[in-house]
Amino acid sequence: MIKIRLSHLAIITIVLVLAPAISSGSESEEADAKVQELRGLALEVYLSVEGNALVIGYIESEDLEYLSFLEQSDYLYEDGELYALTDCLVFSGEDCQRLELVVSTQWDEYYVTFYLPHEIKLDRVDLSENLEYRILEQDDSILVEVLGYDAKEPSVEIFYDYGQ
Amino acid sequence: MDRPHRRILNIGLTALLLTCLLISGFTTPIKAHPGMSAGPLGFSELEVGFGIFQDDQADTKAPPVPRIETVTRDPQMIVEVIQASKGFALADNESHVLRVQILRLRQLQPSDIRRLLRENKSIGEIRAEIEKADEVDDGAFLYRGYMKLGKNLYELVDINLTEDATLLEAEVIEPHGGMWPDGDTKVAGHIRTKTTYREGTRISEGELSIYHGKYGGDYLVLAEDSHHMERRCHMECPRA
Repeated sequence: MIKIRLSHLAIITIVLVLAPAISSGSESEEADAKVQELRGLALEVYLSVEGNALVIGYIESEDLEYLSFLEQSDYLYEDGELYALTDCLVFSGEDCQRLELVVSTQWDEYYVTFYLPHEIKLDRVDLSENLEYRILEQDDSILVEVLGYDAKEPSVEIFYDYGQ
Repeated sequence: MDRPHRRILNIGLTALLLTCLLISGFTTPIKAHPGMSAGPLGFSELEVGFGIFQDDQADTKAPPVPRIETVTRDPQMIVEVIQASKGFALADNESHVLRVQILRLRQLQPSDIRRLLRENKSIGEIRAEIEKADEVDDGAFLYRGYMKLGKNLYELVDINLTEDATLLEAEVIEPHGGMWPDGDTKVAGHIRTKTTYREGTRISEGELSIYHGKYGGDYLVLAEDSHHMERRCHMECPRA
């Protein structure tokens, strides 16, 4: 049973009473409030053996500019939903392949799942600050699930090769 | 703080609390729509107040109030953010920043997607194929949930969410070696929240229990749903 302190109740009440009062101001105040909206990205990336990828997910229209790979990709965007076909995410090295997704600006919420072909041999995953990942196996895919909060310029690099 | 001062402070806080309650009308119970099923959570009737869920039996005489939310689900979305809230978990002697994120993911077969990629279809054709398959298999989907309490990242499993996404209950899976748990499904806690729309703000209130570890304890949850998600929250919310 949770013990509720009077001071907690008072704080909660004050917050709940004041928050709507603050948010129900003039148009300019509403515009200011929009600046504080959380910026969120939620994508699923399906990689083929050939190295091209289908990216599907949720993003606000004003944030599309931060996905630089879209500049060289075919994509459709409608009402928050992105479909992108790209071959700009995979780079071939001397001894391995590298899947790289770099996104600019800061994201309050970041979620990307990579569906990699099961034929690959995963070497390592490098992430920028404030991102965490896990690896799962699912049917014919290896999943690399990346999540983060308050991630600035988030980048994900997945190094892999094709197993023998 | 010595006793007289504490007493004065408590009296003052009580007066402030009652004043706020009178102003905001929080004491009025709001019930779920009569047509809304109790769902897996059994939340057929809930007291709207400080997020404390009341026993149904305790409130059976309260008059029904019209529901203020309308479900308008779009079955075509592949990835949907159902809830994205940021706020606080409050305990007796501590509080932590709390983030909760619930995603609704359409279950696509990666092998089907790779087949479409191999066939060199255009992006428009690929989307059409996916939407067509979605209609055929009636759009199977799953929920994924994540929570960050202080510095720890948790996963939410066994997610129960009402159709209008206002009532959430889930088990909390503990972090594992700085990464998410990978196959480790040890339950570390439980979360239960109710989200209401109040004059332009979506507020999630409820309870969070973490059974052990650095953040072990019982918390009250108070969080605000991010505003940008409101457009995708499937609720036609009344404007102030």
